[in-house]
Amino acid sequence: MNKLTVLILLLLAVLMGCNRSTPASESSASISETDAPTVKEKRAGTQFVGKPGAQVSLKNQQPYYIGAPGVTDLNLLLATAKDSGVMQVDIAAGAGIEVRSSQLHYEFVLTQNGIYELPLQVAIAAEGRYYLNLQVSILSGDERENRAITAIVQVGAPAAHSNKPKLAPATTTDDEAGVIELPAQETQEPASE
Amino acid sequence: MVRQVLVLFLNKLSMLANSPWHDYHKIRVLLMRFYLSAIFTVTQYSRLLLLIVFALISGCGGGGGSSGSTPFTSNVPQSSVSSSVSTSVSVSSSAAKTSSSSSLSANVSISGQVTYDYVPHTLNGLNYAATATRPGRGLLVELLDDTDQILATSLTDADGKYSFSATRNKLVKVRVKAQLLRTQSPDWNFKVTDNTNNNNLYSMAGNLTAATEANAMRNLHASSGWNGSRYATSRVAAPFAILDSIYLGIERIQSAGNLVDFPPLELRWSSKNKAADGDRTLGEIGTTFFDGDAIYILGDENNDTDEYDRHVILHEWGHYVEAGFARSDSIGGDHAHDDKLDMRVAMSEGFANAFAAMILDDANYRDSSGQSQADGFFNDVSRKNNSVRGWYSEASVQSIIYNFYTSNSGKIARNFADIFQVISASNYSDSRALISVYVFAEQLRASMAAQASFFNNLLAEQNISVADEYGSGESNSGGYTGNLPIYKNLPLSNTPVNACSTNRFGAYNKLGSAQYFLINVTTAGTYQFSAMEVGDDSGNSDPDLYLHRRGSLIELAEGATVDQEVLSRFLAVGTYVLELIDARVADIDESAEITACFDVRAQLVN
Repeated sequence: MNKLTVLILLLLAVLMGCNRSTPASESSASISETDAPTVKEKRAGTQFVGKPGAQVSLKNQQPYYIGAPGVTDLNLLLATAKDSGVMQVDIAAGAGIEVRSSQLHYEFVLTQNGIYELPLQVAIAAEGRYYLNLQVSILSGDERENRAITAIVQVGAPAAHSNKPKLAPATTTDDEAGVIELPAQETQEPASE
Repeated sequence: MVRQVLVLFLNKLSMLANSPWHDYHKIRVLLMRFYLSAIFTVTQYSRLLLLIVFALISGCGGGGGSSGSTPFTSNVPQSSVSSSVSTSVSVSSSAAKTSSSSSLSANVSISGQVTYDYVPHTLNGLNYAATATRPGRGLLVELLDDTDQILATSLTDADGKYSFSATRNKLVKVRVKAQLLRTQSPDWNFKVTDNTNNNNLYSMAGNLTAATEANAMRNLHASSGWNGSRYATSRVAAPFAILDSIYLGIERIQSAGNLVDFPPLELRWSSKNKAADGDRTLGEIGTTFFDGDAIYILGDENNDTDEYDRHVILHEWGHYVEAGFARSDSIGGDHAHDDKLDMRVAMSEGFANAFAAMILDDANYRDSSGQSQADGFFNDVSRKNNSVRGWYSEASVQSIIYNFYTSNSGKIARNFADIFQVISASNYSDSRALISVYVFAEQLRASMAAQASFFNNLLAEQNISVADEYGSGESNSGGYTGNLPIYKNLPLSNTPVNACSTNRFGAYNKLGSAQYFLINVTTAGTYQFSAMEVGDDSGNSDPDLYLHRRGSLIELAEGATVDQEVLSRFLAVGTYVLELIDARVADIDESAEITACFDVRAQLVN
């Protein structure tokens, strides 16, 4: 075999043995040729597909900012495109926040382009991040759909938080990176014959 | 001799020239065989060179097939699935199982069963009193020593059973990862991770005990953590309950004849995941959703938890299946079953609802919420007398698909393969039209001609005309004549075609927001598309244009110029879809009702 043949074989080997198209490059022709995120950004970032449920959303800016601890009046606003039926709302406070309003249940007859107000008075003792939980049901005819909505109430400046793993009671973070070990209920016994 | 072998090699290489990327290893193997053949026919010097080359090929090109290497795009062409293909359903352990007698060797066999608390769902919430123990199937199990070194791995079988061989008297523990793993093709890798904890992987572990016959059986159970009135201890079962829903889905897809690797996926759950839109690392995920990369799942006790809401999990996984095995052109957004939706959204959401019901063989889509998870709602996917019926209704789409699935009219009832072969067909993912109920119908009729009449009846029951993939001839306008025809033919002669973008049915992803034009290019060249508002002034309109080819967005124009927009692009011969939308109607904060009408034109400019 002459040297030219050997060189050709060597070149083939280098090209074919070490060159491997990646899935991304092979499939790149089949995906969008433009920057799809630009379209998504334009469309208000609502491109993800969420679970079915009552079509209702919180109009307030999230989080709802309060400058200092204390008692505060805040007005939660709900919006829905539904223009018929009844919307029921039940309000519950998360940990660390007290709802002092006497009314925690609301019912609204839905109208076109309606915005529905939930006037609340809350008491918060310290700076931090708190949550108000809303259970919303929309009844229309014989159909009912629910949606849970949680409003974020930020008192004071948001705290910088670490992304490092946090240890919590009854869990351990394994030495191996990225594994959370939870305690199993284990039974040990001799193996059966 | 070498030349003969070389010719043979080149002939084989030419046969593989059009192989997809994942057949590349076949080419590498072929090359290695060639060199082995050539080595024994040449001089010593040449033989040395060939040996070097052989070693080079062996070392390059990466490892064998591994999970995570499959492209995860929305329109990956899939080979058609033959209903006659028999695929193993059981997810058997792939790791070594030792059967050596403990009395003869220094090893001890450790085996057991992995189980978790399954909390069933009534039509109105979770029923903790009926909690049952179920096997953890297809899970990755590890045997670790006292330094947490992994000594062996295995997978639980369909009964949740596993086994290992361990050195006698060695301190070991068994750990079960919240991970479904299979490395043989078709492979899969599904993990449940904690988005509030660096996306770390959940697992549960047993005790560190010396391996003897006395503890050869080690059963591990994941508890729900529910004490009768609240979650008082770690909710260990949650990740495993989530995965068992996925396992069901895998079983059904494999039974349907799938041969394609599953794209890897993380399902992110935390007890902190709540219905607040904010920082996902704090659990503020808004709702349970699939964002194309991962599925986020609510876990907020007494508000909304979804780890036991199997329809919810499989609904989102259904979107993953669309993206990984079929195609979806959905633009996402909020949706309810009585909405009038963009047809792409209606198709995707209706399919996902039907998918969950089909996998579970339970028509009642259920979602628990509220105090003690005792509240919730359900939706009968099979319902036909929906308040909103049409090609824009997810309720219609789910009804059609699910009722076809359950039918035994000339077919086997509840055979998911019928549905899977439709959506995984290359004609489906390569459709020139945007994916809607029309594309699904067209493909189903083409693949199951005997079922065409029955299926068309299901369409008619939902006020959907029998039409081609473009919905040509559809008569149901959804209450606005401007919605028809669904695709307006756009000539390339600069002749205007009028269409109106409206938010009268809601913003962003609702019926009428986007209008579609069909373009047939017969001469390659640079084409210009324009939209200009005409007729009644709707204010400062902001038309945007999006050009699609077989589901891929290939060009867009989102300029800020009031009342007009222009888009230019070189186009090869083929069929394209142009989408027009007034950006104001896409704005969910827009309170005014807007209908903006435009003259749309197209012409060859170069």
